[in-house]
Amino acid sequence: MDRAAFEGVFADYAPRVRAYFLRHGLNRSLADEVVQEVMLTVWRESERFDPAKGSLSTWVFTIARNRLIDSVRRQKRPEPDPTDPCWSGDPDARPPSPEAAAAAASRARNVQRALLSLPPEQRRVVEALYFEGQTMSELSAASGVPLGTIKTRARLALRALRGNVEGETEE
Amino acid sequence: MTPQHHPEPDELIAYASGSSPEWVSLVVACHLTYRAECREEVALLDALGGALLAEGPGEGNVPLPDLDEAPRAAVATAPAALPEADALGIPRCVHPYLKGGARFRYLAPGLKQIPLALDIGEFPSRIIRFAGGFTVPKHAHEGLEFLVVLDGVLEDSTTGEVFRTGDVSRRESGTAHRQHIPWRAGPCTCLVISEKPVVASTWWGKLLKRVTGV
Repeated sequence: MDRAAFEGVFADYAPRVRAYFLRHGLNRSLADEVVQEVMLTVWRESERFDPAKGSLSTWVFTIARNRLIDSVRRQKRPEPDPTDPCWSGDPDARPPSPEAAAAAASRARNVQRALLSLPPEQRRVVEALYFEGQTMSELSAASGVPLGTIKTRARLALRALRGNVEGETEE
Repeated sequence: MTPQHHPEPDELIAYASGSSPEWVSLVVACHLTYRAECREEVALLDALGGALLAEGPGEGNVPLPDLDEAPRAAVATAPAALPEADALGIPRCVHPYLKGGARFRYLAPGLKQIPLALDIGEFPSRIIRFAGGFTVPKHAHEGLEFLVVLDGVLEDSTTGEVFRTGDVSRRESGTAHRQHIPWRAGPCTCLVISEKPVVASTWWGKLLKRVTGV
């Protein structure tokens, strides 16, 4: 990613990443600070961005999410390591190829499309979980909707996303 | 075909959205090390986060940082792996918690453990190695417990479920069961993380608990 490309990505994503942190309840000065950290990570590590593994939006989201857990919540986020001797069943080791990148891009588009067609109550659950840092129990307590209903909505949303992705790739 | 035991969909969603506590994330990361289909599921859930980010409105103007001041060096993110833990078949996501070293210590006949530096409430998390044929006496759970099989086979004698490498056994508060390791399958190594200590309901279980603290 050269400087001009990064400036485009920055213009697109920095205000959205800022919105992400503000919705998680960070005050403005802390949000401004972590947005800079996230966007600098995108710049520094853009060579490591692999379009075969996911879209740019997915990559930026994972950096912002990890920064939230790490710098704000002061917790670690254990992740599986593809070079682990225990690693098994191995689609992640596919060599980067234009086909893999195209498949990842098409998955991202299909997820986007499925997201837009989710019923409002499922969309609300997904947003609360991803953008407000609420657990399902907290969401249930705050909204008065039973926990079982919240879980069902989350699972239905997941099924809709999965169905859309699988349906599209079969075509 | 025996059924496989995966984390609940809610746990995968919480892992991807970033709302799950560290100890549940460790259980999920261990499972993902062994199970490609759940890695695919998490990739989809990460893509959902990306879609929500890309689609939502931005807020405010963010000044572009001075890029000349920001060296483009690749930063190492993965913590260093411990060769001795690799040799024991302990997944790398667990290595940062092996503060006391990667060596099994004797606990009781047929039981060895490595304590983990990850305490939730009053119960220390640990890796336990059961000898083949070992029986875990009947006990009740007062909090949520996760057990991930890292190597070998563990059977739940109460429900008849069989757990193999990568499987997650999830016990809710208020349930009781007995487990055993089949003789012929040899030793079984598990990651065990609980919210609360278990309550033993047999004299042998009570003795074992007093001796081992498990």
